[in-house]
Amino acid sequence: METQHFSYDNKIVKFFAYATILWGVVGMLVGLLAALQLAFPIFNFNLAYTSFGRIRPIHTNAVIFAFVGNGIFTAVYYSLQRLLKARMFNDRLSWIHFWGWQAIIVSAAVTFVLGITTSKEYAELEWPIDIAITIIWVVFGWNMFGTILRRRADHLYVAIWFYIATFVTVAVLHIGNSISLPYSWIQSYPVYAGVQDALVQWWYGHNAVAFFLTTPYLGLMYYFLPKAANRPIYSYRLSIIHFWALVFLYIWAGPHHLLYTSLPDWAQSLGVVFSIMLLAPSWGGMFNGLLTLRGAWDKVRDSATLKFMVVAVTCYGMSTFEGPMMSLKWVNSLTHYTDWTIAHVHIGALGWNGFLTFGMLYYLFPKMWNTKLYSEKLANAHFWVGTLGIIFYALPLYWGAIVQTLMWKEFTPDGLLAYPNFLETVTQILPMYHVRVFGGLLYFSGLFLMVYNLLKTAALGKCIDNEEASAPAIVTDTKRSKNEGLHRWLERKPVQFMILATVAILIGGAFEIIPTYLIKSNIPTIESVKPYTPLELQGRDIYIREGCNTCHSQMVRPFRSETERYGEYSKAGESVYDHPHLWGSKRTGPDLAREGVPGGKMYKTNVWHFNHMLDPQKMNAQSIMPKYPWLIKDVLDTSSTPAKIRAMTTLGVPYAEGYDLIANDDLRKQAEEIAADLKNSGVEVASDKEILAVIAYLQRLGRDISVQK
Amino acid sequence: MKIVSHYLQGIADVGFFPSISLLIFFLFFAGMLWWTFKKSNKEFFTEMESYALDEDGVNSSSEAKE
Repeated sequence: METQHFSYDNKIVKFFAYATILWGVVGMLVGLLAALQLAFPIFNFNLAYTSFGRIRPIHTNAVIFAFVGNGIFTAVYYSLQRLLKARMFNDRLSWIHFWGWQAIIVSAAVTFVLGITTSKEYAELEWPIDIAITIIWVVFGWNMFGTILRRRADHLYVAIWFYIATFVTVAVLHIGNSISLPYSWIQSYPVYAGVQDALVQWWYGHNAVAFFLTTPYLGLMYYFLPKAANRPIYSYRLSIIHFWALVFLYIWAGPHHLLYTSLPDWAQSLGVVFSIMLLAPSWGGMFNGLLTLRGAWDKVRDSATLKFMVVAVTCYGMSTFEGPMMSLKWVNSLTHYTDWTIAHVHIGALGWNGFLTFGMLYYLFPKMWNTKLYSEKLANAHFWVGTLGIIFYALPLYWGAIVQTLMWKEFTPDGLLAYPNFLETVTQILPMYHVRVFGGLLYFSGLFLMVYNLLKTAALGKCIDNEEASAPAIVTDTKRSKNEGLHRWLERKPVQFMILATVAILIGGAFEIIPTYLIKSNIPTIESVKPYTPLELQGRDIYIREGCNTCHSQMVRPFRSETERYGEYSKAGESVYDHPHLWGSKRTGPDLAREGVPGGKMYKTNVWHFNHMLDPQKMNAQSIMPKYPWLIKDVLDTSSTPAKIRAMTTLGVPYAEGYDLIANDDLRKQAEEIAADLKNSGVEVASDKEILAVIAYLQRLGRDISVQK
Repeated sequence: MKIVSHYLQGIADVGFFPSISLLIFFLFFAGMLWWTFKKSNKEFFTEMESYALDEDGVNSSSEAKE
């Protein structure tokens, strides 16, 4: 066989690795700010751009798509070339991919700071950026498949299956969840509303965790762990079984994010069952990783890289045990909306993704720069500081979550809520938020040790941008030979492999989502539920802009502890006009679904809302809510009203024909009424300010079904 | 949960959905187990287990120069 000479593109790997480090620092620094804001509201700086509602999506997106995203690409670009014995398909595509992805990250940060968001968790980016993501993702896939098709290796190693599954599933999820109708050049409403929007969102949200934070990192593990330990993987058989089981099962589990909401029961049950089953393939992956080190544990003692990887895989095992447990309905009734969720995802993010990335980088830098790691001691120090950081981050939040959920649910012997004031339950766990900041600080300082260590390592050596390699040319026989098993054949056929993986994930998606479309015609329309008035719609968009939904849910679950606190539990028919749904996933503050019910448990007057938005701490000294003084100062932009009404009408919200033209008249009338009411209460405010729209929206919440009585 | 049960009644044989999904998965999984435990595959699996280790040692000369 002819031997071919070629080179591996290390330069692109180097750039992705540097981007990983840079965005890791940025993302975690913003995370530290978010943690500080929850502990000390003064860190919101009374500025729109830096208030928690806008900072939080910057943190989550930076860590997921910038830090882990670039980590994925570092791993793929390095390992793919070597596993396939081929240079990346096209250098230009590689660089378009690199700079395109960084540009997306920067535009994400800018739009979030400006409050341009869809409100959908981990899919907050608006439609022009969504399109850019789609294009860059296709460039990545094209480059990857081009390389696969030009390979000099016969089989596709397990890591590559995970990369392929990642590519197709993220594409399907991203497009499926981002379909929206633009009402301006930058903003849009999702085509789904209420229950459907929630289901699609968590089908996406859950699988963003699965196919962005898990499968590519399993691929990374399957390449870098054996390399770092110089051991074969424990079982190839296990990797086949757990790959297909994982890919197939994950996609069904989304509804476990919506337990006890007004999502239909059958969908909730489906989510629970598949979440429990997910434990098996997840742990299959964990065991395969850990058992790869059997007989080589002495190496772990000596190598910081391996230490990071071992703890990462262990954290993966912990998260994937905890996840199914939290999907059990009774456990979920306790943990949902609390900091338990935050602790859970951080075991995954800091432990699994963070530590595996660090392990990979400590392996890659000496390898690519053809030198030794500058300081193994510093790397070990990073490991211990980071591990302590995870512990100090997660434990207080678990503790706080238990305390708070029990307080929410406690009744006095007389049958009254023991802690009717929500704020009491926040104040109680505030010390835990302080400890969490400390944990984050530890983890972050560890990161700094790594940055220093790696830069020093790079300075010691020289990166070989084009690494010479040679391999025999391969003549691939496309036909399945006689004794070749199906999977073995499949491993030689990337396109067929991709199609089968796509089918595996589509089955789950189809079963989950199609029925909810069918239901649409059967939705029990609640007669009294009407579309929002123009002012309320504008207020709702400000609510989204400020990220109120990151701390306030709008979904009262059917528990006595919740109906006593908030009022009537939420019904599916109530949110039929909600593009997007704003059910939320965390209660840092109280639920707002019944905020506007006159005479209800949550009801507040207009003037209360005014003063509260201006200065929450003046109303409740202990409150950790940011101040929103700009809402009182800024004039409401009414020029967007007609376009918004038209978009809503197109999406099926029953505004009268031609209403877009006169909507602003109604808007002004309603604003003047609220301004007059405020004046009666002693507050003078011009009727064109944003605050009036927000008050109008808050006073609308839950009002529809209260009229019925 | 009056409204939710209303939904359920709205779909004919809705209880069938989880059963179908379970069946599909079970068949798929059973087939895969059978295949992976076939004796004839053992040698191939052993070879693949150290695949990541071979790739720049055996067939190519890309090992970083000492």
